[in-house]
Amino acid sequence: MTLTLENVSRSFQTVTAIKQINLTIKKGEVICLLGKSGCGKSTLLRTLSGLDQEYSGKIYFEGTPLTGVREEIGFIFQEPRLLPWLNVIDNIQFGLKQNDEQTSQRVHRFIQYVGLKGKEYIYPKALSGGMSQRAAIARALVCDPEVLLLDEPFSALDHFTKLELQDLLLKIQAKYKTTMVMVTHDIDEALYLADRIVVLSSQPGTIQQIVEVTQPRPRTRTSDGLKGLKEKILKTLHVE
Amino acid sequence: MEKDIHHTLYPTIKVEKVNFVIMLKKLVIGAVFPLGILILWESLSRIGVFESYQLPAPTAVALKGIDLFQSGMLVPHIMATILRVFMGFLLGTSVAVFISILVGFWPLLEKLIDPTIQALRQIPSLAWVPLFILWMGIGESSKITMIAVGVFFPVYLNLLSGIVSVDRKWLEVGQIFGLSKRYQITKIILPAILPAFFTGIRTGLGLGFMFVVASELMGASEGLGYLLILGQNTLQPDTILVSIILFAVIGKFTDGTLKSLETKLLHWQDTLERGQSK
Repeated sequence: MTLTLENVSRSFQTVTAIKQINLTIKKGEVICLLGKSGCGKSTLLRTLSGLDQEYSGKIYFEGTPLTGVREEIGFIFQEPRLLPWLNVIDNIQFGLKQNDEQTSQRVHRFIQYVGLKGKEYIYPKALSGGMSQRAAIARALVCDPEVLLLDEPFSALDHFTKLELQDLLLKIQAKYKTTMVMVTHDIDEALYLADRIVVLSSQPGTIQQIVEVTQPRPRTRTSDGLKGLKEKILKTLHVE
Repeated sequence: MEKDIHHTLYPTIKVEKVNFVIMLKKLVIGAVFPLGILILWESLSRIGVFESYQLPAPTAVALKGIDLFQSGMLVPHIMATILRVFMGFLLGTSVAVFISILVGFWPLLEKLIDPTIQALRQIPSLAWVPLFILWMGIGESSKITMIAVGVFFPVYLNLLSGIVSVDRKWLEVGQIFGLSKRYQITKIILPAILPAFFTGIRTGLGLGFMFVVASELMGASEGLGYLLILGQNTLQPDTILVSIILFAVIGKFTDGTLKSLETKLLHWQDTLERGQSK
């Protein structure tokens, strides 16, 4: 049990963004939060990250109440949010506190891993969207998080880059067994990546359905099993 | 291996060569207009269209400059003016940095102080001159204070707007990685406000030169502004022109220094080259 949410609600002034969310996220699990835009899925992710603490209800990380940002929880934003005044390598080691030989090797290993070798000293202005998001992934991974929260990380990328980075995520997950919670509005993405898909209803965001995807990885994006699940989810969301 | 080295070296050499050609082209194109004006001015002076006691020929101005330089008068005047601008710039910038940091980071202070500063800004800075002279006499302190007042406002306004508009998105990145307050400041906030700071000090320096002229016109015994007055009182337009040209040269040089520092420190900015070189 890594993350447990009990009756988590969050309101902004008069609007209730999410209401009464109860969910247990297991270690090493990949969860996709799926819903229409404005359903509060990003709000939910921000409460999990500790960035937003104005929620009611309880969130436990490994059994202890979550009171703020934790080192064990990494976050990947929708935009890469690289600091423009730092080059790729400095951006990637931005969150690291130590600065020894071992750390430096680790940084280089991850640069290689996400496919940015040779681009270490380039500044963000010269990077493509996909490259930037790769750097952002490396920046989060290099801190060795147990949980990785991803807020629609690929929604601004072109289709092919998106597919590539989805595979990169799965590769990471297989290797490091990182627990991942990813917000997305892309059903195919959720079906390809998730162990469980949490479908949220809109305004206020409540859990409408939890769909288990039991198909073993690697999955084929066009398989019949996934197609059936897709229809089921679309029906739940009242989109035909 | 050898081939590799050749490959990596060759493009850089080529790029430098191209840059040099572009720079030379820019220089030549930029020089056409002023050179044309100079030639026209010189010929009109020679055939007597301009009277030499009103507008002397460029060559006459140049000779006057050399003359002043050789008499040993010019360098002390230049140094006096530069020193005043430098001191006033330093004073105005330091005060502006100090206050804008206080106001920028403590919302209460912003509410308390900023409206007053915004109101004071509306006073044309030259209006302070009589008061400063009354308080401090016509010595160096009133001059430096005046220059500092001129420098203060652009630096304060730009830096403050830089501080309050640091993108929350970057601060959140710092938060997610659990950065201490100190690191948030040195790694995120300072670099983020650097562009605004440079805009402020470059405008400030320009105003500093404006105010040094004003303060030296009010009463000084040395400085380029004094030279202007001297030229006026002794009916020597060539002296005035020498002084004006020196202001242009010094202003261009100091701004160029700041600009190259800016380009070096802010090379990461994703802006058009042209936008940066104003």
